[in-house]
This record gives sequence, C-alpha cells and structure tokens, in this order.
Amino acid sequence: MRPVVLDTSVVLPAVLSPRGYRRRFLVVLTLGALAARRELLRQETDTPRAEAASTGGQLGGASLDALAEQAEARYLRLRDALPTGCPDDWRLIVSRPLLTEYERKLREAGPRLDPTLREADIDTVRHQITAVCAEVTDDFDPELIPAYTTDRNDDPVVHTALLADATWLIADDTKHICTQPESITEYRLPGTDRRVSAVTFSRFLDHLVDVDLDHVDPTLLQVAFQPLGHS
Amino acid sequence: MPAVRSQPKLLSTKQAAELLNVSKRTILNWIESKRIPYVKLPGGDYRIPLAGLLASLSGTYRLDEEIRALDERYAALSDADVQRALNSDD
Repeated sequence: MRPVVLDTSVVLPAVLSPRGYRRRFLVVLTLGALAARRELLRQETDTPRAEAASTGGQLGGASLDALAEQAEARYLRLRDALPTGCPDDWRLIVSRPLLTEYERKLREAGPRLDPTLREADIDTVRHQITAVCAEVTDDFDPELIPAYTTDRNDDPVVHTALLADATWLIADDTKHICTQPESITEYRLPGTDRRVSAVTFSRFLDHLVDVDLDHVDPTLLQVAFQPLGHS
Repeated sequence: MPAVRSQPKLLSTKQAAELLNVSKRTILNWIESKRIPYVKLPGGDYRIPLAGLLASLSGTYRLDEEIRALDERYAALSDADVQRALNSDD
C-alpha cells in the first residue's frame, strides 16, 4: 500500500481540469480507494457488530455486506476499464482540516477561473475528493500543529502526510512546500522518526513507473461512480 | 503517533457531518432513511462506520452526474489554467 497526500496545487487541477495528468492519476487513486474500501468494509462488518454487542446498541441502516459487494463490483468495473496491470495500491489520504483547506483555496481561487462558481460546485468538489479518498487521518486542530512551512495555510497538508505516514506528499507549490522542486523536500514530525518526502507532480511521475498515464482514460472518474448496472 | 490507515473507525454524527461538510441533520436524515450504516447506542446516539459512510456516498449523491456536469463546464480548462488561478495571489 502506497499512501499519498495531495496539496491543493495538485488536487484542484485534478478535479477541475478533466483531461490533465493529475486527473488521470486521480482515476488511479480511485481504483486504490475502491480496493481499500472493499477491504475495510469486510473488516467493518465486525466492528459495528462488536460495538452493538458491547454497548447493547442496535445495528441499522444500509447493509455493510451489501456495501462490500457493491464496492467489489465497482472495483472490478474500474479495474477492467483501466490498462492491464494498473496498480490498485495507491491510497489518497485526507484529513478534515485538509478538506477544509481544499475548500478555502477553491473559494479563494475558483472565481478567478469561473466567476459563476457556486457554493454547490464547491460541495461537488468536496464530495468528489471524499469519494476518492481511501482513508481519513485522526482529526487535529490546525492552530496547534507545528509550523512546517512558511505559510500557515500549508501546514495542514504536511501534518496530514506525516500522520498518514504517506509515501509521498505531492505538491506543485514550490514556494512553500516543495522548496527543492528538482529533488525531494523532507518533513519530519517533531519528536518522532516519522518523515515524509514532498515532490512536485512532475517529479512524482518519475516514481510512478507501473502505469502509463497516457493510457488512463480521465473520463473513468465518472464511470467509477455510476450506479452499478449502468452501461 | 500511529498511522491511521486500515483501521476501521466508528464516527459520531458530528464527526461524520464535519468530514462531509453537511449538517448533523443531514446525517440524521440519511440514518432515518437507512441510506448509511450505523449503530444506535442505548442512549440514542449513533456511531457510523467510516468506510461504510464513504461507500454510501454513491447512494446519497449522484456523484457521476455531479462530476460529468463539472467536467462539461470546465472541459477547456488545463492543469496550467487551474494552477495559474491558484498561484495568482501567492
């Protein structure tokens, strides 16, 4: 499993530019999310049951078994539409403060792209990113995290990557995050040995050797979330 | 500080609402309409399995239609266009 965390400078082009390479990588991450979800759903069928048994509570709502079957079907549908051998072990990790930062940046920069950008569009982007994420880190207060960068708004993405023990933090912000854009910028969680390597998307592509993004159809992001049975 | 991946999690309704940026009322509506899995605790509170919640998003929104609509609107945008907009205040 290869966890990655994406900065706004990568994730917003991925969701807003429908044919770019960042979108194509988002499709690969979607395959990873569906792979992770089917595994977690199998585990989770026991967790709520144990919680209900230990507290005297009651299980209800959508069936976890049915959701696991749907996740499996969605995974197979996307896998079969992608190039043979496309990796399914990349995992997009987010945190609540990072999702909030994505939204803040979209609210700030979005009107420069599209003056008609509405709050509903921002919600769509959040749904999209949340649906593609494989995991969510434990919550944290952005005011209380270390200053990793020279821009306080960029610290949550670094902190999320460290909490996630991410293989890569991918950021095209060469001013505050990838300050050594031709190589790797390393961050460390204070008081621990945990480190994360930040790279630009173009540098990251040097490490993405097991799939050729030219062969990944960017429109598969829509297909991944179509209702099952839809052709 | 442990890594958090691959750990099944149970969220409160408040945590689920904050994660998805919806109201707690929306989460309760999804519970009442059985769109998402949950555990109802004896005190009346709910716990929601994270992966089940994320997997249920496809049933709570037509994500494919939302993505298609956004893609049609922004069909001409390149990665560079978006990055220019992001960087213009830096």
